[in-house]
Amino acid sequence: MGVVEDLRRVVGPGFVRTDAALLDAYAQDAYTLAAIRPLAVVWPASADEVAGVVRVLAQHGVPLVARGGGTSLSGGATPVAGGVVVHLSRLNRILRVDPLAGVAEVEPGVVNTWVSRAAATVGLTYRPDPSSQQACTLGGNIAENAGGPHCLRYGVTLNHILMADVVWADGRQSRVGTLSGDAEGLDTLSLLVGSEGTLGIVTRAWVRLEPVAEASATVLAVFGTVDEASETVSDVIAGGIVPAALEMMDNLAVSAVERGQYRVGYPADLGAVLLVEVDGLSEQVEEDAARVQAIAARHGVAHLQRAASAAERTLWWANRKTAFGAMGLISRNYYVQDGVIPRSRLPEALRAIEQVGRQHTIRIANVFHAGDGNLHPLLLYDGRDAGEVERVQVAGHEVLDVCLTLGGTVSGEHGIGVEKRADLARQLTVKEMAFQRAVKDAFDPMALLNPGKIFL
Amino acid sequence: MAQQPADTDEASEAALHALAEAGRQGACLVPVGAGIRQHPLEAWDTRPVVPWASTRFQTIRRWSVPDLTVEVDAGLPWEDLNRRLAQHGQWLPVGVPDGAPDTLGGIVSAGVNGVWTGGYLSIRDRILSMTVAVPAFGVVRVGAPVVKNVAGYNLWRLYWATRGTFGIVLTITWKLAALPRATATLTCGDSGSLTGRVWEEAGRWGASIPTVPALAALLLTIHPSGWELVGIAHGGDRAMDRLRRTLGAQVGAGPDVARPAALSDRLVWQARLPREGQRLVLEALSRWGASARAELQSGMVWGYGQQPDGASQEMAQLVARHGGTFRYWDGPWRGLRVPPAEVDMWQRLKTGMDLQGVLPGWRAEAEA
Repeated sequence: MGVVEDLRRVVGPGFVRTDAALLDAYAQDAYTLAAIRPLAVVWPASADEVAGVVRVLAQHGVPLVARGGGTSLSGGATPVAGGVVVHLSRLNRILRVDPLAGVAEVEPGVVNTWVSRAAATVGLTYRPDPSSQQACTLGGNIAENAGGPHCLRYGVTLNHILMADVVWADGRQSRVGTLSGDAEGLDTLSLLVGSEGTLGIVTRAWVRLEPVAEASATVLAVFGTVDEASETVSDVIAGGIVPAALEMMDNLAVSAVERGQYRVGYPADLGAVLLVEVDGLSEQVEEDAARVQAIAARHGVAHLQRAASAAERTLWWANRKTAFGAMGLISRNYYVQDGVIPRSRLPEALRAIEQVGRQHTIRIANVFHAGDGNLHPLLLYDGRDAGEVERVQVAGHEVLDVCLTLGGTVSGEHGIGVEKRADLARQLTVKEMAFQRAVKDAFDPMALLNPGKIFL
Repeated sequence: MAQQPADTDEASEAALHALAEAGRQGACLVPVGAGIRQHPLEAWDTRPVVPWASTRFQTIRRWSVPDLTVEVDAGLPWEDLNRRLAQHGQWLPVGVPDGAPDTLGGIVSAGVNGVWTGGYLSIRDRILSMTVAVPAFGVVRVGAPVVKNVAGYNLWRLYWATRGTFGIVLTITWKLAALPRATATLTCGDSGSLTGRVWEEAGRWGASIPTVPALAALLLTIHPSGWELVGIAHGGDRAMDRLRRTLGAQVGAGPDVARPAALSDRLVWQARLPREGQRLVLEALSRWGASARAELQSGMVWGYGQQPDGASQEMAQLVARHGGTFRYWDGPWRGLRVPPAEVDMWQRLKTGMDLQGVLPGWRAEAEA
């Protein structure tokens, strides 16, 4: 009996597809520089069906990739040649929101913003807010340890997942983590979060919800140069202020996003804009906002403004969060990078990235989480020009070299996927890579769960 | 371009030598930190046990003041670090609940969450990177010394609360916090057992401070003669002044919360529970006349003093019934529950890192 027939017995004939047009649609995720047509796509509807699918694939020795919203920017959900895509979109229920415990119980196919909306109905919030939050799913967020602008103060996905049900590589299931937020002994949950689907498949998760602060203030600061904005970021952090979010966009990024739907009306000749949000007690917010504004003034800010209304704040954030997509308004294609540097090295990092762009005649826009040193250079190119595609990939790796040279890391929130396997091997020593590999081998000795990711 | 290998310094060489020697002797190498919570070493293993005393190494390796990060040797006591950090207005919000001078490596290896867990999260969440000596791989760095990183598996979490099972922690890079600009303290207490007043006061304070978290610490101490509740807020002058006006808080330097006057005994165990479970466990402890502390925002509970045979075990069962985790602060892992589906994976991982079993193992209880 073939693997496809066996899968149909587990999930029903309508939930395994092998038609070419559909397979092509699953051949890539949001990382568009790699595409592999899978053998089949399967849609299980429960944890037991996921376990059944994994058992069938293990029996046949067929590799698989679990897929959520398909928004991975590093190719985390790129299929494996000859493998099966396990799409978790039917596990899409928010099972419970417990306002007293501050916990939501969700399935992996739930979209990030659904959780935020459900939490808001009981006066709580779910903090991780990747820019793709309208489309990305909790399962994908867990697999990639997703971040977002508001993770500066409140932490990334790893800090917000309490417990999870998991299907392992042999099809067995267990519950990892605890509702108390502390691991009992061996901390399987922490290994699983950010493992890019290479260790197990989450079929249910309990996520931490938190109260919304009494007050918040959003400050917009426009600078004549990127250096002035960068130095403001460094001084805000060094001053011990921990904003809820601290974001930066440079001139090229602003020029794109101002052509989009959410126009703020930024001056065309700005060097960079900072979006700083502080929250807490109202008195604390006033103090922190005033200190941020004073620091910006010391660095020659050209224009300072506090959001006067919720609508204005929402517009500013919509403008920022649609910046990646807005690149399509000024370039046929773009390639987003993701690296981290120590926050104090921001000015020199941005200068070095500009130099990379000049060397390869590639336009680079910068839209990023400045407060935690998480850079997102957007390399603009024309995909019809093979030479330019090649140059942009080389430039992308050189951007990561800048991060490593400054003592940083090759990914802050997008993961390694297929994109950065060589970069990770440059970041880590041979022994450190072997250590990483030992974890994969222990959890998935047959290498069936999303092989070809993280490791070369 | 790769991270600098860390196996050329004295601590690394000493750790690798100790691992090799223990392997040659067929012994078990046990990291002991400051040794202040030392269970009898013989309890760790049936083989001869050799202690690894990290206190020889107490250097601050790298402190980036503008980045609020610091890399330190594992043998450095937490209070020594905080004294140094205060020079530049920074600190590591750990606060060992009995005030003992634990080493930072010991805090990691024993999984110690301190009194600031409610306001500043688990100290576990402030670890950015470590260097560790692993029998199979030598000295390796796990994590990265920046505040955000998803490059590979979260391997530093393997060393939290695992008591040297997967390697010897040599250095730790921490994310620091700025010292608070002002402090406000709220207190109440009574003699006798816990009453509903505790939860009313805690609820009133929390409701009056609608932020995340409400307080830097919300600490309940219970002892045979009564209980005290202390709330500590950190922030700017104006925010603290509001707490003075609305709640009658004392503004200024707060009490030394790491050393409660009412509790002279040493810590024995630590638990963490969901909110409702924490309340039930604390009420049970109070009825039993036990000495304990709790941080009410984070679900932490700490048990103090020598207890009659079986009392700790009974407490562990009570904590488990209410959805919490329980761990002893000293000695090897006891009563560790590993789901059957994970036993083989963890055993493979242990073998992959420590084929000879030079480092301590764990005593797992089968979980239904």
